[in-house]
Amino acid sequence: MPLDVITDYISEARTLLQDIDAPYRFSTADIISSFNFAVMESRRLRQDMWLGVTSLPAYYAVATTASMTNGNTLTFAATPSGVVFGMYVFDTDTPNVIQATNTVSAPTGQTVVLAQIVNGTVNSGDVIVFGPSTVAIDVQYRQAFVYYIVGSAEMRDAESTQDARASEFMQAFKSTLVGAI
Amino acid sequence: MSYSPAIDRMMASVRPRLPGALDPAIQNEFFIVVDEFLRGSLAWQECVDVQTQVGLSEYDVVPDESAIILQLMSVEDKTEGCVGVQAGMPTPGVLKLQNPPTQTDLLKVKVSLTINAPTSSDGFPLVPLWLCDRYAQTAWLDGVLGKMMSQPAKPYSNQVQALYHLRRFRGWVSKAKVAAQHANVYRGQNWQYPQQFNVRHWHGG
Repeated sequence: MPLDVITDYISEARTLLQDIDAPYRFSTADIISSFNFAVMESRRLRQDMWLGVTSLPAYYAVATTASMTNGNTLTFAATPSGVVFGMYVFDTDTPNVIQATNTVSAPTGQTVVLAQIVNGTVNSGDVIVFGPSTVAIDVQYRQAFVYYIVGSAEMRDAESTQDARASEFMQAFKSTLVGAI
Repeated sequence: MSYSPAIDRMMASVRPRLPGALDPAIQNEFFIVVDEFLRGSLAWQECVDVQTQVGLSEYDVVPDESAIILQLMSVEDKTEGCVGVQAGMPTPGVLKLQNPPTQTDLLKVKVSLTINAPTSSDGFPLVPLWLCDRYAQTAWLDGVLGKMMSQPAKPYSNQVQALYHLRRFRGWVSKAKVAAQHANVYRGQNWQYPQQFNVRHWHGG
């Protein structure tokens, strides 16, 4: 199913932002941050999307500072915030090097030990995303979250962004969630 | 898929009428609708046997189903030829006899019930299948549509349709109440002549 995992949202947003080649204009951390805000906004607009959920899903993105080959310890420049035992791990720059079932075993300061040894090499500078294995959003509303990420990116006061596009995407997010069909 | 084909058909009918609605939200309203329906109609009734003890006037009444007792409907003494017994239920679930029994009797206690958590594993309230077959696609369908459409700021919000469906739902509750009072007998009545005047054991005359 499309948009099952957080990396799907990142790549969909990059497609709409025409930002698919590194170095990126919009960092993965910014995109992740926008996604987290979209979740919070959806909680405000549509509480029924999160019935029974006591803590909303959140993702954290941090860049590695050291390469790791066939190991299980990731190193970061600073202590990654919000990373706890059991979170799933995604390498957004080198897909599939970290298994879909791999989780955080022990976050210790600037290093994070994974439960499994990775498949290949996690390069220095790769952005690692921590969070739930799948994004628990009903399929009817997944596309709206991509709209929010893109709209949020377009809001930035940069040469490449357009205010009208930002407004359209943010409106598309809101109307998908609460507007009449 | 739920435990009842009638509920499945109701859900299949609800979803296209509420574009953008989420199943957990529908199920949440469905629980409230069924509860309101049962409280209003007293359509779900069950008889529970209670063994009395000499001198004890209060007894716990525990229905077989996972349900909440709403009201005490009647109490009959099975060992005395189904004679009516004067009793009350100030606290739902606790039968209080007006006069403590002077002998051990078996009472038939009829109570009305409503749904209770937990629901089935797929999130639907647990009610007898005959109630599902009878009311899922009529009363409950209208109730769910009305409740969902009355929610503000949703793609399926529709105040006019909400009023229409909720009015129909209230009509169904009234019909169900009458049907329960008449024991589902067409033009019938559930009334019985007071049992202390029962003459079926008289053989003279």
